[in-house]
Amino acid sequence: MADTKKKAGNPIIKKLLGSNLTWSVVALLVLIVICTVFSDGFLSLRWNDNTGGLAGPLITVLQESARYLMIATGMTLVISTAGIDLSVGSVMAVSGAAAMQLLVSGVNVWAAILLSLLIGLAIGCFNGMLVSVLGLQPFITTLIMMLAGRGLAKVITSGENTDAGSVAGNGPLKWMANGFILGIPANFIIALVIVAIVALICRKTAMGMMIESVGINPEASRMTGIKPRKILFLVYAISGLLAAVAGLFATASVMRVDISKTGQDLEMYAILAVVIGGTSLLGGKFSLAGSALGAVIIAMIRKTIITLGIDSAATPAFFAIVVIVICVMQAPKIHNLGAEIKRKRALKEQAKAVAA
Amino acid sequence: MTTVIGQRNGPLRNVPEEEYNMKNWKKAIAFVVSGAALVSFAACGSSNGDAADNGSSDSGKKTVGFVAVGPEGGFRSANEKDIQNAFKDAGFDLIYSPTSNSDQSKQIQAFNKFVNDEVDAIILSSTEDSGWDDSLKKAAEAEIPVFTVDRNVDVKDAEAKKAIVSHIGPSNEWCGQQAAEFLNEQYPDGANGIILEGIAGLSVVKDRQTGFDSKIASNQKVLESQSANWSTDEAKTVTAGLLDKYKSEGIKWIWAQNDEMALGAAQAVDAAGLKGQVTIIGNDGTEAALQAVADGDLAFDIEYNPIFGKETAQAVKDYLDGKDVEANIEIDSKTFTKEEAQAALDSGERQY
Amino acid sequence: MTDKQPIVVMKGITIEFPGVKALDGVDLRLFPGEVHALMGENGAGKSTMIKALTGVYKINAGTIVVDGKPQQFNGTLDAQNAGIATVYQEVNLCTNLTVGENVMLGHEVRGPLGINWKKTHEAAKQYLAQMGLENIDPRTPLSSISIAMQQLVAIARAMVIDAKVLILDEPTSSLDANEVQDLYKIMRKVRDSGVAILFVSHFLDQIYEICDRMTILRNGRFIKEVMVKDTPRNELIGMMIGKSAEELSQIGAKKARRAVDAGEKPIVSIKQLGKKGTINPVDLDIYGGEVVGFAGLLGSGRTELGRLLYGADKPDAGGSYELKGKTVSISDPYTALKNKIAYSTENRRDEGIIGDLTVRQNMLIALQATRGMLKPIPKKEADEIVAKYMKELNVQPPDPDRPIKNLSGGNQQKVLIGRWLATHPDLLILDEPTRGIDIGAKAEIQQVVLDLAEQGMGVVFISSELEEVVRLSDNIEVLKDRHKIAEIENGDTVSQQTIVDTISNTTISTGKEA
Repeated sequence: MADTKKKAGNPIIKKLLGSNLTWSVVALLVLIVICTVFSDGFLSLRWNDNTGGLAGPLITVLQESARYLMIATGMTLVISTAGIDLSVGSVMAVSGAAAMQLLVSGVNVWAAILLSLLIGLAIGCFNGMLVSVLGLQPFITTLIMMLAGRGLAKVITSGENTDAGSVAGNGPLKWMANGFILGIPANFIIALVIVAIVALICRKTAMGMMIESVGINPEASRMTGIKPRKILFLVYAISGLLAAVAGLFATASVMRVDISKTGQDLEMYAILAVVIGGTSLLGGKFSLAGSALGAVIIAMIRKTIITLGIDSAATPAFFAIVVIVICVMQAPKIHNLGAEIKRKRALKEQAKAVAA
Repeated sequence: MTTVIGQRNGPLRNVPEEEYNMKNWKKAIAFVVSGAALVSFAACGSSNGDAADNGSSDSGKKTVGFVAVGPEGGFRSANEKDIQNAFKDAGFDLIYSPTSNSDQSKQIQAFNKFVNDEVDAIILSSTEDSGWDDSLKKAAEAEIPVFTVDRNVDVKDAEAKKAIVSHIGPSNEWCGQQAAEFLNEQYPDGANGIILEGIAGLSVVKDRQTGFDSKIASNQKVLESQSANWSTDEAKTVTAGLLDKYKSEGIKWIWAQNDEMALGAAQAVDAAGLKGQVTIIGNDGTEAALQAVADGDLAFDIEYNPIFGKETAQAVKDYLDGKDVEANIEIDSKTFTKEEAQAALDSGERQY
Repeated sequence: MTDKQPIVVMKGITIEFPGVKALDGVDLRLFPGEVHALMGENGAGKSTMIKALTGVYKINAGTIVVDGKPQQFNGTLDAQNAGIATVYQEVNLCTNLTVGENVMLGHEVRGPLGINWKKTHEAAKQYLAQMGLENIDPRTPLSSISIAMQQLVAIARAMVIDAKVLILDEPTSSLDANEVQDLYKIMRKVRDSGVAILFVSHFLDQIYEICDRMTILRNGRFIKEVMVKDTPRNELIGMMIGKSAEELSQIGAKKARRAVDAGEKPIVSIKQLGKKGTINPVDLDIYGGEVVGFAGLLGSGRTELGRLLYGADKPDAGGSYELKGKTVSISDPYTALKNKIAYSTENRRDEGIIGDLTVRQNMLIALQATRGMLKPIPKKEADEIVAKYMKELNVQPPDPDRPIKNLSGGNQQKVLIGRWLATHPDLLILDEPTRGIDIGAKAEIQQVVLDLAEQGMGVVFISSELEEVVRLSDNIEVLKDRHKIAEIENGDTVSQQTIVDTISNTTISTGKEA
């Protein structure tokens, strides 16, 4: 048929149209264009001597996306094994609470960072153990941890919103969230480096393939000598560790933990980022690049809400609409719509000819 | 309480009792179970009259139920600790029932359980201002006096309104007024500003806004109001966004409806290199905010005085003794400029 | 015969997938009251053609006329509504439901309070009884009956829908001889009631026994429509593979066991290895360079013994497992692979392929697992392994970057054998490696088995086809009712009948039941 031939002639364009990444980039650009229309200075960048970095709306988007990048990366691996980690937001609160509380009680900043990351890792390992060894359902396990984690954060700070803003020597942590490297937000660069490291480990070792394999068919994977339990444990541990990094970003940004607000609802953002990135919630093939782009899109949607001054009551609806539109744009059925209509028309004509 | 336990004879009554120590993760299950239990309560009608005397038990102590918010931040801990201590000192038996994560449904369950147990009085520190009509109506029917503290509740039903004897707490409208008056003073010629709102729909947010609107001079221009959900972190993001958006207009003042958000706004202003050029006002009088005022990061802070346990206990006592109680007992709060904040911090007397 | 009107006419059917034409202008006519065989090698387009008729695939060109009405199928529901019922190659039922629920799914008997389960199960029992399956209780969970029974249930399910056309895609691949006869009985009944049956099978005997007419496909093209009784077998095979298959069917014909040298240590020697509930304790020695056949009916324990050797199931304590004279404990597949034992499953879909991964990944994954997650196979080595087995096993299409789920069954099987060979096993256990694949691929795989043994590998060959077990094996272990009942050294006097006799003449004392 003519249209198939024409498409076959343009394999690159076809591949691009079929790729989730392309549509994510388009969505990101559309949001930026909308913001630019509403606020003319949206694309402006200037040097801020005060912070020693670039400043401007896009820079704050990058700054905010750092935490989403972390939790979305962990979530991608977990979802790839056909699981889910609802505890990432609470783990953020726990690690942030631990870091702030340790700083306030006089612990060295590096030790505080290390310890709070270890706490995140420990929660992740606990999730992993329940899911892999005891075989509990990921949804329930991490839901419990989501609720218990918030309680744990409250215990750590005795119910206070601990402020470590004035603790001497908090510089390194503060810099992690607010500093700049060559003018680019440090947290964004740190996050990108971590994503790149995870991606490298996944693709340069066999980890990625094994994670996907377990997600696609756990029994067949076991029969090939893979130990699905080990893989499951690993992904939840990684997710916990990365959520702890996100928790540091979120709290170090203001050097203050808000035990009930830090990381609140962020597990949903992480899942949305993964979905936008094209990883199926049923498990299997995953795309870290897609999720990373999804994370930036999430930050951009939030920026759009502020820039457009959308009423706070309407923000969840706005959020939902944007995500739905992106998912629809990515759906293969939509891409094949044109071809499908032509196919149907041709078949109808053939059928008529037969009937005649 | 011993009498109550002794009288627990039906399974329906046992269910909500156990919820008190319920862990967070059981919340969902508990909600469903107790929902069913509540339906049964309604069906039971007044058959639970045998519990009527459990408040004035052998010890002669009056029982008061405290539907509280639970750990939320500095203000809340100081407030609830003070109320608990004050009632203990006044010789009451106070049953403390906190919710978690501002979950109103859990508060309603606790409230209904208190009604069902026929306590002598209920102190209600609600997370949300609406949705209390049914519960209050039940309290009115059972003739249990309700004292709202801190946050007022919005009641439409006349029957339900009867249950509320008095509201005790600092005035949120007054807080808003103070912020507006400070700004009018600072910028007699008017200036551009933004408002960081709390979680949409809360009575605090509405009251503080109403107070602010009633006093703010017409030459002060509010460029935009946005919610930062009471969160420091979100306030920083939102403020950074608005500073960019209104760069040409120039933001001169920021009124944050609580201290958490004021601190976030201060950090955003600092990052933008505008420190000292923007007047930031916080609300609540927390230690961190007073420190920020003393350091010059914030310009002004309005206290929302959490210490009114004594006044509350007195009101309850008076009412139960048959004396008249004012419908609205307003608690005095302070405001803090740089010097006042420093003095307050130095005095070391502040409990929160 | 000639005045009969076809109920289904498919003309010029073309289906394209990205980069391939799976079907190119294929015709097919189905007549009421006839069993029609769709013949062709793996990848000839049989499955694709069926999926076009059942609405799974959308056709790119061509016409489908059912009962005089032109049809456009946009989904399986459209096809079902047009009266086309299907039983697929791999049983597609809900194992967590009961037999009755599966039979009646979507056609439950409704009462005033929703579904009347009692009546639904009664109706299911009737349908089952019609098919001679009156001894199945419709309330038993599907998962508790054998795969063979599940297959028959699937056919019963197809009959619940008042079908004009019944498609049976490899229904016999998991049935034993008696069950096949039961199936024929049912098929004849259904045929005589005027339903057109489309039948796909790789067993030529079956085609000649039950079919009236056949359509032959090769490489996605229509070759010919013929009457079965007018077509000799060699002519049919010639049309299917384009050349005579006579030499292919003569592979092996082994008639003696390889001589074992005195003092030679077996690769594997197990003593009293068993697992309660699946297989009673077994003694067994397997030497390098020999093919050991496991023969027995479905449920005899032949698969269970293979899984035990591989550690797929954990054996009970009390048995011993020696590997080249060394005592080992094989309790999981990883340990087995580490010890150079590999097992290719009979359940290709659920335990074999990892569908969304590529052919390349599927081939390398077991080797990778033995090396550990953090030690990736170097690209050069990986390329060599993949290229080697793609070529040696003749995997079609020869594109290693295609997801394995897009390959035909036989080619998936070849990739899986490549997967195990890549781990260089000393002992390779092949469980039903030739099931559900065409005669060409079957012959290729049989040849591979012999070549591997020739190279010194020990091969366990498990198959429900006694003919190929006898032809390929040096030594035959006969199993019955979860017991090993005999060990037969192959030789001139051994035939299929020897094994059948052994099975039917041996009784097992129930006291030893697992």
